[in-house]
Amino acid sequence: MHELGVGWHALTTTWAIPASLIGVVWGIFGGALPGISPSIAMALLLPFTYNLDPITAVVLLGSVYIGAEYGGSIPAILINTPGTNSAAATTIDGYAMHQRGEGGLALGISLTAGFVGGLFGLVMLVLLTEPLAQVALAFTPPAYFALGLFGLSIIASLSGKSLTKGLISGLLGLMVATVGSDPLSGVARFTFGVPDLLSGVKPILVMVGLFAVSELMAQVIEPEWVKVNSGTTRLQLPGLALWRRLWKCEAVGCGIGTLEGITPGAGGTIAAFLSYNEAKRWSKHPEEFGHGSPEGVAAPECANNVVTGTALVPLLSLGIPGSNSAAVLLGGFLIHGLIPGPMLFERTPEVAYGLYAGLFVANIVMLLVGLVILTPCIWLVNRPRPYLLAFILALVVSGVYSIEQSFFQVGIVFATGLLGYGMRRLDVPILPMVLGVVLGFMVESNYRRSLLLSGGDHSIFATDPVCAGLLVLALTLLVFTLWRERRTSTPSSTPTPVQEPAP
Amino acid sequence: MVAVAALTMAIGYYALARDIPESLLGDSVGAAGLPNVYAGLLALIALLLIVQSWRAPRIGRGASTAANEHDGRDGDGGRDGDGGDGGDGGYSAAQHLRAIGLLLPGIAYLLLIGALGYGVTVGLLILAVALYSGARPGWRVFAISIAGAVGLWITFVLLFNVPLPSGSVWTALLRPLLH
Repeated sequence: MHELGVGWHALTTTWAIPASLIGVVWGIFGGALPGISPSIAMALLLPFTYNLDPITAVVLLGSVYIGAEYGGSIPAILINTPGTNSAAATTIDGYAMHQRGEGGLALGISLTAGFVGGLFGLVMLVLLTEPLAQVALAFTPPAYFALGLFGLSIIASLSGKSLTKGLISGLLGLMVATVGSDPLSGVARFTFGVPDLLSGVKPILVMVGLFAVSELMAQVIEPEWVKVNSGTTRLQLPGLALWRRLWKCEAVGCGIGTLEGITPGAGGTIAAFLSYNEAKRWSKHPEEFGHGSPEGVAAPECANNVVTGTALVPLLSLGIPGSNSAAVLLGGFLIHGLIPGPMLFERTPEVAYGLYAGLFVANIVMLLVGLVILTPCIWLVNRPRPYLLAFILALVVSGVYSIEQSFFQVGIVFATGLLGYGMRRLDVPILPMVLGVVLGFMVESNYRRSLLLSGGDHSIFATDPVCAGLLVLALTLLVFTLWRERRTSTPSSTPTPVQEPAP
Repeated sequence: MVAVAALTMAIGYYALARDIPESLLGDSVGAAGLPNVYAGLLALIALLLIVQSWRAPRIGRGASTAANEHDGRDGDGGRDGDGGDGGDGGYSAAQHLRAIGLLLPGIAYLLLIGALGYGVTVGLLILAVALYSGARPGWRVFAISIAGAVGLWITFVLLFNVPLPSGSVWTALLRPLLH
């Protein structure tokens, strides 16, 4: 009850409610534009959060995530092009429904299933995060070192076809994290005499460059997406009879979304495809799947919205971002000097509970805004892409400069954008590098602190029970992921997600 | 290609890490300790990738490259096996250069903003990127660039109070008038 009061107070004494509205609208627009994933939509807003209070900032970013998941289903249903990776499963039956004149109903199902999933995910987030964070309160430097390694072990599940490329990406991130003053001795490392590099390369710059700028570069040579026939689609909410049919597949989406969300590295795309498959298996009308089944829209949309809540569990409790979007949200915390993890609930509970309350408002807002935003969304998707790219790049350079009034940082964003473009083209996953940048400091500083405590004796990592447990967990996750990757890479009828697994 | 790039980076990074000075406040690991480990690991993985590429069946590579060439694309990234360099999306070198060229207006923006100020430079940036990405030249692209620049100037300078450069050229031109 006290927590509820803190959340309510945070919500009513800040700009969190308008932020959730702006965030959801921005997220829906961003998600509706093919190529702009939730994480990119969030990364574009990241620099703007610098001048906001922490609660408003994280609510804004969290709301973008929620809005983008619904936004991604709009082009998926109307033009058979998923706006986000996690909407790829929605295209199968959503577009089939649109082809037979039920596109408005498909969008209504996507909206309501997303609302149900979003609220369920939020409940799971609230129930699971704090108990996990309480456990993490007992952490010592060796345990934090092991936690960092545990976070890095997610790289295995983010590496797609090639674990070696994932490891290279992760190591690049760790190397970037070593730029600047040494955490213990203060010696300058890899700064080349440039004062701007003494404080290191900020994760936000790496994220904006890798996610947003590299995507803009990729879009320049991508073929133009199909235009939506405006004026022919009106959003239609499902009736009571259809609701009764959909509850079972939404329950499936909720279950799978929870499991996949809290598993670092899994994410909304895998959750959506697994839910689609399971919903088909449990359906009374499996023959309709692939030909415009309403359940085929509801299950993946519900699941990927559950993930918007549950993917934040590892981030808020342990400080480990398990997906691109969670990594960008982490950037929002770091900008304000906040470190997600157990101490967040101890030192700044208003931010954590304010985020919960803000996400609740954002889900309500998504339902309300979703009813009226279709026409402007179609208008935006139909704009010539060169103008969209130009405005987004102008927004990036202006926003990044506004963080610390540094053009040097804009240059870093361009450099990481170039690197990100190369990585995309060579099939080197991006998120492991972001993880490396974010977790590098934690790994190095706690490793060296641990050795200072033990007088250089490495057995401290085995004798500290939490550390040893986490190291075993990291190893287990690594082995399990490799086993699962090997299993799913064998030919099967299961549709496989596109691009990176995490949204 | 990934392996060679990674190996080069590992060697370069190691060379730079060797120049990190020792500190009197240093611990047993030292400021260069983990960077050396990272460089070693990167080099090891790069070598592993090279070995994997050598061991991969050449027949698959040939077939894949042939398929790419048949599609009229560059065959640089044909094979998709573990450790391979596949995945350039089938784009030609010219297309990659075109994508990378998007950064040129951005670099010009960084060079010009001090002299021309934020409002003018961001307008030029929008204009250049729009034209570069395929917008048809005409009054429309100019009008949208001006409107965009005004909108961004209002947002950042007036609403967010970000101290953006006003432009040394304009200041120099206006100084005689003000005095």
